[in-house]
Amino acid sequence: MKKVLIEKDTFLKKTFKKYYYGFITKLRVPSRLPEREIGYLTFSPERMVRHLALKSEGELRALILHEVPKALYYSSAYYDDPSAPINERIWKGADLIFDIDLDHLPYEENLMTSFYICPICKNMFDNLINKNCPNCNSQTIEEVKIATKKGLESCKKEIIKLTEILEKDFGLLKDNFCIYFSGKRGYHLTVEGSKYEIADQPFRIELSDYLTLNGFKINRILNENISIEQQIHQFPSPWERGWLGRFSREYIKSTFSDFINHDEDSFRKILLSILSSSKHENLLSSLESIKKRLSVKIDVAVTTDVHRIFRMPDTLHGGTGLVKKKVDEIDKFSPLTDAVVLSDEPTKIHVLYSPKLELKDTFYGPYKNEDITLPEYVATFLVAMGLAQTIENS
Amino acid sequence: MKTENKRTVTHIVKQLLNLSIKEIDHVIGNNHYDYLMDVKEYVELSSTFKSDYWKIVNRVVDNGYVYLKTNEVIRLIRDKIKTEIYKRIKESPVPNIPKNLQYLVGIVKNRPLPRAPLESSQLTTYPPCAMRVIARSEANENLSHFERFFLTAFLLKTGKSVEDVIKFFSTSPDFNEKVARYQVEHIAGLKGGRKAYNVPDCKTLFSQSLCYKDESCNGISHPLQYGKRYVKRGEKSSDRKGHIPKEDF
Ligand code: SF4
Ligand SMILES: [Zn+2]
Repeated sequence: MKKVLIEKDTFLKKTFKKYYYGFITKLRVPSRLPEREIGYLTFSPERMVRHLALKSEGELRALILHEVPKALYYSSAYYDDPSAPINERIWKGADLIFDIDLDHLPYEENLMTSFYICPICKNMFDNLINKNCPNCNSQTIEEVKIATKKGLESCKKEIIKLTEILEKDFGLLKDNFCIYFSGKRGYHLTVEGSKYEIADQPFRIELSDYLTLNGFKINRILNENISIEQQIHQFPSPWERGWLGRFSREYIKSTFSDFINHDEDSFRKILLSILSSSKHENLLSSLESIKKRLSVKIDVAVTTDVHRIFRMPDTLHGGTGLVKKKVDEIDKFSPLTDAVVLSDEPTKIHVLYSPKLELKDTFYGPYKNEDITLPEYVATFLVAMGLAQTIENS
Repeated sequence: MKTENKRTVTHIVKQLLNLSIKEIDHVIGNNHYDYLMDVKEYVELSSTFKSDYWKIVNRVVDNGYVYLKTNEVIRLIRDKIKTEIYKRIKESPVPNIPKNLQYLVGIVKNRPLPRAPLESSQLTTYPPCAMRVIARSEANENLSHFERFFLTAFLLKTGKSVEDVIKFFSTSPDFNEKVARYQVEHIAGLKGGRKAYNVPDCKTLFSQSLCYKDESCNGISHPLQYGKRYVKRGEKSSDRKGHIPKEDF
């Protein structure tokens, strides 16, 4: 018997097709579908198709079954005629959209496993000195980043921060929030049917700056140029609204050892003792680090783009074989289990390299240059990541 | 006196400008706040202000409202009041002219109009609508979003560079380079791999009350056709349509 390695896209398309055929009736169709622009990416030859308008749920399902896309997108915007050329369309509004991606979080250890793999000589490297493969000098060497459980937990925390601010500061209703695991390295949050739906780009830029604390003036909290008495007076109360209250509460958390059941007066007293005994630079630097902790790490380019197309919920991610999954309860959501939708049919693959990874509460790997039979969803994950190829005997 | 001021401001904002605003009495640190304004309306009113002071990240925002002091509200509505008054004057009916002055109307009406330029030169290739917006901008008046969009698209299509256009806007009172650059580049099609936006046609400009048609317009339907008629006398109407490229990305 001869071993034959199957092309990545051939295998993925077959797997995706099987999934969509079984799942198509359960696919949740985006609201107001006919008003949205639809686009998709094909398997090889890779091609991006945009500016589609679909009249009905049936048309969407037919498109999926017919094309079996590598990725499927829908616009956050609503148009009069989504298939018209972009400058002839009438823009009617857009959902608020937020993207929390591991790539945008400040560096911390073990958020992702990352390494390099050379598609030419099939070697794996932890680090690169320059942009070429250290072995065969190929320039096509690719960086592979795999989100860890810890990394995805950090993204979750950002989502929780985000929902809290959108609710409290912007008066949005939790019922209008839809949170999704993106299918790869992060989370999406969309808000449909809010009073901000018709907000234009300048507003969305302001909103993004608000969330990321871009341009925030620390001297609203602490100002060196006024007397200590005035500083104590100016310092926001922990019961204050908006960012000021958040800064104050976070400051207490990091500075006061036991501030429970305290009132405004005792808060000011403790503040007096701290402010009069600390150097201004130290106070400032602790406020700066609070600012870093509090800011919400959204991808600003996504939120401020009123014509963006976004991955459609319930569709598979071509880079992992995981689904973009609606999150019902963020605290209980476990992306690397809940977003696994492919079968566990035994699938034989040749793995170039894989770090130890966890899917559906089971650990796999590490593997290096070996043939192994794994459940379809693990095999698909590794193939989609470019780390393995399926084997067929002929 | 102070409460009376506040009442007047509230009245103007609510009745004249039709904005939602609530009176409050709230102290935060050293600041005493008098009003809550809807955050969307606030961002629209403050969008032309340059300083970070006006960014919502530096305001107290709660439940969709921005906390403001009376003097801040006054600063925010100043320009809006100006445009509102201008609009009302424009819309008010022209009074009847007394009989004994009507002969003057005849004289003015029958006066020969200045001759339309026959050849395009630097100065006369801009149609009246564009000239008007340029003049308004040069007089440091605040342009509406649509006026800015029209002027930007127009200048870009008639050969000005992105830098030229940004420079042109840089003299306006609340110029913010970051925002201006973003908008100009967006319209020019440099953002997000898009093609440039088209210049609105005469019909659209007319519907936005920006058309100041005179003889020199000479039956054209798009400001970019202005002046070209004199040069290319023989062109067919289908060729003219070609001035407005249909684009897509
Ligand atoms: S009709 Fe067109 S060209 Fe003539 S003035 Fe109005 S806008 Fe300008
Ligand atoms: Zn190599």
